[in-house]
Amino acid sequence: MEYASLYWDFVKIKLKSIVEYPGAFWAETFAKFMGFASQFIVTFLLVYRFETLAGWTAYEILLFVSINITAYSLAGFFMFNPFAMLSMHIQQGTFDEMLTKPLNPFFYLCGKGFLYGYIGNLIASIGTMIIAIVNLDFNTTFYNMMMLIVFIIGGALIHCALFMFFNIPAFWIIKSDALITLKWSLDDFARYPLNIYNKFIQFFLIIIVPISFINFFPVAFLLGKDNIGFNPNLALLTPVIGIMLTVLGYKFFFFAVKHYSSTGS
Amino acid sequence: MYNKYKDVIKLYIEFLKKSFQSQFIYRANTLIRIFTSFIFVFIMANVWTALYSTTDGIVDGINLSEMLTYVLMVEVVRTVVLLPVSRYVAGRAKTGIVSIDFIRPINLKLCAIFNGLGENMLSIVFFVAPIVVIGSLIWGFVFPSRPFQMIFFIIALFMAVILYSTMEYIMGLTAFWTKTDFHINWIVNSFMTMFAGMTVPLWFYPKPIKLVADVLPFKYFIFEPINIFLGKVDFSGAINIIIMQFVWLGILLLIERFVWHFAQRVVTIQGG
Repeated sequence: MEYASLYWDFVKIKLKSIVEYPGAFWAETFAKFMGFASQFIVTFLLVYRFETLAGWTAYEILLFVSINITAYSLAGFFMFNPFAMLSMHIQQGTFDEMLTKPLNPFFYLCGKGFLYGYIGNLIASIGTMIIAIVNLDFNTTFYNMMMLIVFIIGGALIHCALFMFFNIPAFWIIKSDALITLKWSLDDFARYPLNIYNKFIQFFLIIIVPISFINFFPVAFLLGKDNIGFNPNLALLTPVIGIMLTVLGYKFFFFAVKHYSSTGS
Repeated sequence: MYNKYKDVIKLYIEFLKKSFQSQFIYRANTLIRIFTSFIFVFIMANVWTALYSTTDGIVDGINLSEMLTYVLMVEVVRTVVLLPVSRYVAGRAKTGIVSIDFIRPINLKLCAIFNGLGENMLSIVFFVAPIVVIGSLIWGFVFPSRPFQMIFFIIALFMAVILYSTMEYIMGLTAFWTKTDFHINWIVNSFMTMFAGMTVPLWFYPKPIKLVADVLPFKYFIFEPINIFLGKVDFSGAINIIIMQFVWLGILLLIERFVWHFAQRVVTIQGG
């Protein structure tokens, strides 16, 4: 509880900078909105001309991509800055400073790194999600909406875990740029449905790096799709996998800190 | 007179070499970059194969192997054309180094272009060439059947480089006001995503959106050169495209002059 109010204090400081530089804030929000909206439009056009992509219609694909970006953005608020900057903190020795604070270093890292720059992404992705839902045969019952929210939170947790697992190795290898580039590639896979890939890649995206639980199974579940070669009920694992991976990531962080020797700079 | 031009060219070639070398130092990242670019092409090939599997093989006059060649050609063309000119200019504007550029007897725009060319030539040799070779072994490659396609493709590609770097240069100049090229880059990139044909070629666009793309310059950077390469436009169509590239170059150069005029003023006011 104490941590919650402290985190809110960190967030408040960041939000104050919006008030101070409103121009920069709106420019960034608009730029990111355009960036993601254009991707959604192109993905829609891609499927629209061909009517179906491996059994998915254009609006179904819109729901599919928008859930992924919503989950990614939610994770990005809390995790992008702390972990994308981790390798820099370690290189420059500023991470050592965090260990001296009378706080949980994981918490301090995350609090300090809160980023409001994902609002543009969120507006674009939630807007797209609404457009998709309105145009789909989607029952907006209380149960369905609750499940949608649960899936998004589960997906956000999986994205959080990905941020952690791909950046924490910086404690050992210092320059982890290559790993981060690999992570972008994985995000590319999540932009299209799992059933367009071969068995090997499907196995990889379900078991090794379970990104198909972020949007593929959830959307299949919500739309009751049975023509995609997988049981949509697998989606129920999404929140479980999200929580498990995040806890593992947290443990991994402390394991890394324990074995960390400063760069001495 | 002849010697003077020779020296100038030598100077810019030096810029190209330096940037080529500085990129080459990060050899460790090379393999990973080939891998990730290949993944991207691989994903797109999967997407197009899945899309075509429900059709009778030809959509809007394009078959799957032509489409897969398009995907590979996008990698080639974007690497040649998309020079990071704005990043170079904005970086110098932000740090104030640009004040030196004003008194140097060299052209800021050309420095930025040759610096970018150095980076991108390295990318062509080390990243794109292997991907195109591997890609064409897996998915095949449709070569131009008539000589004019190849010749006009090269002309259109050359024009695309000049056009695009002029646009990037204008974007970079705006950093004289905003101190960053981040926002304008994202916004222009979103137009590139929609109208340059990097993901979806304009053949497949619905009429109204195709009309918008037709009146904007973005399709001349990526889509139209490949359109010529694949022979989807005839001889006169190809000439039309190149004429339109010249028209757009004229328009962009006018805008550049205008922006440059004001950019210089802003810098003077700030004192560098």
